[in-house]
Amino acid sequence: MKNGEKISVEVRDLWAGYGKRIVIEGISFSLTEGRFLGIIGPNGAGKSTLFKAMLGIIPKVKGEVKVFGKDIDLVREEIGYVPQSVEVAWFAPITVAEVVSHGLIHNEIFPFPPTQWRMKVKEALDLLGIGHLWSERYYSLSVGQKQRVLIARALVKAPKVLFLDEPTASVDELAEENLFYVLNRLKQERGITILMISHDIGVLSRFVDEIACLNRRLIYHGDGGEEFASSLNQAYGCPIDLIAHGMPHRVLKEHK
Amino acid sequence: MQELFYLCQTPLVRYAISALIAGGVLAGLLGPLVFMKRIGLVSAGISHSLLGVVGVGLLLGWNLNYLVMPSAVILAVLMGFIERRASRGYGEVSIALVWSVGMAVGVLAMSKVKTYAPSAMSYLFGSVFLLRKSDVVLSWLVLGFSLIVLMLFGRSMTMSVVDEEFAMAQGLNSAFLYYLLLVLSALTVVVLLKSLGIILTIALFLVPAAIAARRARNLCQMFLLSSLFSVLSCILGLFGSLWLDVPVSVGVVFCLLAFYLIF
Ligand SMILES: Nc1ncnc2c1ncn2[C@@H]1O[C@H](COP(=O)(O)OP(=O)(O)OP(=O)(O)O)[C@@H](O)[C@H]1O
Ligand SMILES: [Mg+2]
Repeated sequence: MKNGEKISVEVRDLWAGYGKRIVIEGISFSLTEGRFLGIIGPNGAGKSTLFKAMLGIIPKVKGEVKVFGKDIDLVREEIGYVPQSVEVAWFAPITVAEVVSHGLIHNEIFPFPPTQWRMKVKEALDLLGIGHLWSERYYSLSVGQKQRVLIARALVKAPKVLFLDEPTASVDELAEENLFYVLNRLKQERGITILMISHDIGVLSRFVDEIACLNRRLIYHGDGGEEFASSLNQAYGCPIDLIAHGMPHRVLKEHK
Repeated sequence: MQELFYLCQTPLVRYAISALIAGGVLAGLLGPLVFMKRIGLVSAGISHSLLGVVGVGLLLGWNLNYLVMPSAVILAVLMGFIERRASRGYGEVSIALVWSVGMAVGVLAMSKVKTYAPSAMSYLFGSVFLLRKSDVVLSWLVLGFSLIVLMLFGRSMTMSVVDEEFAMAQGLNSAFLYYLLLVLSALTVVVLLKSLGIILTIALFLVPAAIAARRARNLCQMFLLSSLFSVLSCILGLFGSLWLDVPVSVGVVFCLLAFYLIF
């Protein structure tokens, strides 16, 4: 970390789980403003759980999460979240625009729509290339379309920190390229900090600045290289051939 | 027709209409929320578990008039508590628990009551033409209160119902909003029980919301359509049953059924 760079996200000794079952154990890391962190780990490693604990969706057993040095409850308006599951609003005749507008609501008491919400929603949809879906029913969309709508819902408030939980799992190639183009632009223009969970080593190697490898504990956090490769082997419990997955061993290092 | 016109002049029928409008709007507004949260049977749960309260009240000689509303609210909070603590995300489980235990207590208590208890029946099955002025006033008070609450919290309640995890990530207190929904439902159930009884209360919560879910083009329309269908079937059902000389709840249920089939 260079001098004068602000830490945007800091996690200290975080323990969390479901009921009595602890899933993530003592995770600590910090992230400088404007950085893009990729998080990788096997299924069931606790990646989504880490996000949920950081965001206060599930209670912390122990530990601390700070965003811009403050308790997360004080900076909710700066935080965008894209959950892993797109199955929301099962029976609701809710439109895409309405789903995205929820990204602008931060208080229980909310009598009137914020001014210009239509404009903001439109911008967010256009950013993702799905402006034409405005008045479609959310649940009649394809999975990939839903995923893009949920990304728009996270971006609509112009967040400073973005949590993406496998945002491109069902998204087509073109939309994926577009998303990373958009994310990169937001990073450069507004200096937003991004945390992204992904299984796609190819994507991670191309776009992220830092990478973390997780399996209940944080096994690796850094900018790639040999150490990262061996941490993957440890996390997955078997050798992972990075080259076959589209990542030359040192590509992360050289990318910077 | 003439008779119908004269009937409408009588205070009893006016009370009935007034109470049905209030109750219809209430159920029509809350219906979509419980429907989307998939706790549509909350009204059934609360109304049936009230049997326990009525039974115990009769056994101990309490005044049921003051007992029903607070107990309904407590039962609703209890449902919320069980859901949050033990079966997160499965509201049906907590509803079923409170429902069946409440009825069991009721059956137990009534079996100990020596005399026949007709008042228990009237609490459970309601009679729209026996409403007193105070009942009507209560209906409108509950409606007013609910409208204020929905104006303040409706948007965040909707958001929390649609995607609870995201609502929490946005900083909403989803537990509070869930309790609030249950409490409003409980108040509505009490209002509807008096006039329409258990069976209709269940139908009025769910059927208009289900029609609206199918027909509405957006969420806003869903609330409007649901209230519209709810009030319409109450009023049409009332006049229909006056005209055909059948019990009001029969008229309303057949109205709801007709709407459901048509739309
Ligand atoms: N709602 C829940 N209740 C109980 N246990 C859960 C719940 N969600 C996840 N778990 C458990 O927590 C562990 C971690 O789950 P998590 O969803 O965080 O994994 P993940 O790393 O995101 O996996 P994936 O790559 O499949 O998304 C799993 O073993 C799972 O069984
Ligand atoms: Mg996950």
